[in-house]
Amino acid sequence: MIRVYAFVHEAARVPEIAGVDGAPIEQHGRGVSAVVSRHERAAAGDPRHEAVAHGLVVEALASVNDAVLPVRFGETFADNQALDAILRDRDDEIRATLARVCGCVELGVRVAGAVPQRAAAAAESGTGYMEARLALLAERDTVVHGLHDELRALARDAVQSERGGFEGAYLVERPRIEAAYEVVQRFTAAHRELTIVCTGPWAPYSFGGTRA
Amino acid sequence: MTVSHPTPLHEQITLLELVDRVLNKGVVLTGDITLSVADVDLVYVGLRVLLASVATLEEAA
Repeated sequence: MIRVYAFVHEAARVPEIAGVDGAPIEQHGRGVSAVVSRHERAAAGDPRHEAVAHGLVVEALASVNDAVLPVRFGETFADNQALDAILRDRDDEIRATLARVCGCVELGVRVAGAVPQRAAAAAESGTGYMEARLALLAERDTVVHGLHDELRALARDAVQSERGGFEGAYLVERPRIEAAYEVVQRFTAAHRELTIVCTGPWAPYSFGGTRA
Repeated sequence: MTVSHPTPLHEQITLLELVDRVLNKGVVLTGDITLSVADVDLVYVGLRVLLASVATLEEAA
């Protein structure tokens, strides 16, 4: 079984790091190549440990290469033939995406706020609570949009989602990372009522989709 | 002697963020992923709990 971690250019540097289950990693393919490890059979370990091992390989690759395209954890192929078929089919797309993310990192931002607690503290009646809560949510949205707009302006690309709280990912050219951190720090200092968590730099996990 | 302690909470957030990315983002090749939904849910539960902890700590500070 072959596990795939990421796509890189053939000339990429592959750091000395073990993959899932301690298996050695290697490059496979010409032009665009896959970074893979080979296994006798599917590992039966804790999938979270395997996921972390996968992620550490991707981050190690991204730390020494300009263009790394992370592959979702769990993609496995029976043999070289099956993997080569995918590499052939997706060659143009992978090449284009590698060019799009080249020289960039991904920064992640999550915003959570203790809206219900603050609304409860501010209100004495049920109606008052709902009004306070709506006002606080609107306030949070204004801050989040401001933060997102400023980061998006600095980034080559940006994606956002709401999963119980705001979540943004920004594809930032390396020389602009500090500027992005400064934006986050300014918002964090100005809005103590919200929890703003910025993580990264990551490999560009959120920018591997097929988009024009 | 001054010892600088790493902040375990932020390390945990980083770890969960890494797992979140690895499981849910990145290029999909076959769509044939071997992980169960329960494992993925665990990551989100963990993230929410950690974010709530950070909020509590920061309010207390």
